[in-house]
Amino acid sequence: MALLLVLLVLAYIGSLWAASGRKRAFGSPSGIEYVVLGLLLGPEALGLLGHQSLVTFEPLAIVALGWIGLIFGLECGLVAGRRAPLHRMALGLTFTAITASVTAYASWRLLDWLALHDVTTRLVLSGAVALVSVETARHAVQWIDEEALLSGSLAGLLLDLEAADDIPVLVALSALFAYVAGEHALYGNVLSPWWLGAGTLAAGALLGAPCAWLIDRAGSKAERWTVLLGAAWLTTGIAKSLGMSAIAATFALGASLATFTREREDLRSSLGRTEGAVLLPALLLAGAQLRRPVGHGELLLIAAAIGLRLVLSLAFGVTLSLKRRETRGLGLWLGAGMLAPGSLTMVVGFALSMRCPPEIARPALVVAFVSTLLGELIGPRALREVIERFSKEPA
Amino acid sequence: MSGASVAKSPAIRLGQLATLTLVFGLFALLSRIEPHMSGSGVVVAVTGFLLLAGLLTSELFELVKLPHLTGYIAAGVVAGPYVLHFVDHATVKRLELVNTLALALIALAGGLELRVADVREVARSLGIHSTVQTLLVLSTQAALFAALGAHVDFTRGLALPALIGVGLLWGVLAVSRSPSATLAILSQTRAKGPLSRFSLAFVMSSDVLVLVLMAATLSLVRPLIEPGSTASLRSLLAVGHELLGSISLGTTLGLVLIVYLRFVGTQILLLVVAIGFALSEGLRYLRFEPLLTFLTAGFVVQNLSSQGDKLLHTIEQTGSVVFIVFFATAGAHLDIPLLEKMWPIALSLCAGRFAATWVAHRIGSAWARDDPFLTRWGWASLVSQAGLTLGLSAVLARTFPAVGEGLRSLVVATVAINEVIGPIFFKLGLERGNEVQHGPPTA
Repeated sequence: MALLLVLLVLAYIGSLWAASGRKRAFGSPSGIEYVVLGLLLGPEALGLLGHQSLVTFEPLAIVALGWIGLIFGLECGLVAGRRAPLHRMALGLTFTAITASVTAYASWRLLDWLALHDVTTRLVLSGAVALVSVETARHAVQWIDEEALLSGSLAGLLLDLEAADDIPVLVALSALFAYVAGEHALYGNVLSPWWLGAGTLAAGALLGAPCAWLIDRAGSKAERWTVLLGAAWLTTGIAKSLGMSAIAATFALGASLATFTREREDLRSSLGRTEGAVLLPALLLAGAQLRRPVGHGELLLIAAAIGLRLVLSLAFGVTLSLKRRETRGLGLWLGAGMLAPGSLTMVVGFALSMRCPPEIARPALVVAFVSTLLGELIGPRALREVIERFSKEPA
Repeated sequence: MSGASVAKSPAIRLGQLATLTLVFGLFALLSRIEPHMSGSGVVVAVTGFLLLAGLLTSELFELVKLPHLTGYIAAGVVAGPYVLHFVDHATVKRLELVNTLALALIALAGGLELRVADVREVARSLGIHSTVQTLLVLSTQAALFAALGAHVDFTRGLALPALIGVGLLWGVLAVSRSPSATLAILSQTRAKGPLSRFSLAFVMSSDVLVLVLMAATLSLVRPLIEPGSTASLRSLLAVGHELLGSISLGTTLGLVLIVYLRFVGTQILLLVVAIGFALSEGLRYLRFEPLLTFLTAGFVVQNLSSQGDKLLHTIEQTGSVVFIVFFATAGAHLDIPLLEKMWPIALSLCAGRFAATWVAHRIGSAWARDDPFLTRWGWASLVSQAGLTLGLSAVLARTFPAVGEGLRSLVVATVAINEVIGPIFFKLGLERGNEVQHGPPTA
């Protein structure tokens, strides 16, 4: 436990130090190095971090996930302080939804073929694998953008496409958690899991409005932070206690805060500075949760999910390049560039690993890890290639 | 840490009330849907709830000029196991980890506020007041307790020597004050002046004095309460070990902090939080006094380096979060049924302590030739009691199982009263002395 504490503190200090400069331009866009560090120290490699250590730090992990959701929510739909055009966001959302649906359906069929007859497990596993296979390259594009490598209309297009792609992932995650949690009762009436899932998101959104109002009228920075922390922890705790997705609930809180407060830019900047401090230790813990796949069935499922991700990304890149004159001929590179995942994939994988039984958590987290690693190896390079080729094209 | 508030319009107050209702409504709904909540989620939810409810209640309490601290406690009481049952005993217990950190930050800030120059200015007065307060409050409270002994369940039927022994222990408990409440009020009001200087120095130094006094009294009264046992210096030795160990460790910590602040100087809050958690656990193992350790560390940083204000400013950035969590949890801890049962005795003892404190202060002021304002209002900060008193009563419960549990219950009941009324008097005194800093806070 002491080792984990030391590592968490080191991760925290390191991330804060790195984040003191530019916001994203540190390490890899997804923070995969922290996942690898966690994996090395976890039970699958050196075994320095045992299961008990991870249980001890569960409350911190919950708080971290909730805080990350809040930050994602505050940034949702925005690119460099401006709202992304609706049609571009819709295109990005469509791509995410198509990828998720295709992956979920393919996983469902594959699990059926593998003779997994328990419908609940099959449904949740298909959904979980789909959710860690869909995130697109917002952080990678931002990273490249901050390196000043990407400029002009292509940068704008890519950033706009990624501006809201967290939404379907987190809404679906909320639905999946609700399905796992099952029915509850209120005053003798049965509450369906879907109502409860929607209710948790609504609670986050509902709390966001008055908190935004309080933040605008706060007498001091300390008061503003008290409101923010209180709202984030209350929303996180409510979701967790009901078995719902904390990250989705605080995402709704963040989106609501961003909608209603006049101080949104200041909030984004203040909270953005804390992102590394909570995200990177969470990634380290996620790495320590990684477990070797069990059996050929799991391996096949993982390979299929990664393969689909690759194919769908390339297909999207090609489609996009056909639609825009300036990107013609760059389709495959663009698609490969879209493989670069942000931190959301691992965060969602981590959330699933904390909530679901091992037979679901294990493959979901491995898909998240492999997808992130692969994307990290291919994505940024492909994006650079796109930029290079794009810049050679006559304007 | 939160700074004095600026005036807020009725519309803002209505908005705060509506938000408070929403927060309570959300939590009520949660506890209806999931009545047997347990695990990490509920701790996170309760902490968030107490932060919002504590902040909003304290803001609304401003309308009737009550201190923020009273609002934090009220929010805790209402949400606690005896009123709305939002927070049960197990959850309150699990919040102790957060409380430990809060106490470490409060004590560190307390030490940082103590400047040698300020202490020197009130040193003579401080010495006189400490002597008079200790002698008068201890003796009158011991006598009052012995006189009321026939009406108290756990002392009824005790032989006179035992009754005197328990009375003396009660007297020592009555001498203890609340450093955290004092700091919370000073932080809210950002008060500057003779009353705040005197209060800070007196309350902080009384912490050490009470520990020594309790050890000496324990050795003295043991043969009275437990016939057949002999007086022993073991308690004194233990306290000596505790005090010296705490001061030594605090000094070392202070020096380490100075080096860090001087040569690194970044992520100070993170370092303080990590030290707060880690060291508090270590101190429990070593049986050192966390409050004194962190107080000493803060004092060392402030007075042996030029880094004190930097560290103080960093701790102030935690805002009201620390105080809200600390006092709202204390509110949730308050045993309302016990208070209901014991209120006549508890109220009598509180009234007696209040009167003795006031008289002792007037005598001390006349002797020390304090300025007229300090003479009139200096007692105001000496009414509050909180964690230290409860901690000492827990020691008594362990040491004297026959009467200790009863004594502890009575302490809980009296602390409940003093914890609520003390801060109100102190804030009133600071306002009367124009020591409260108005205007927009900097933090």
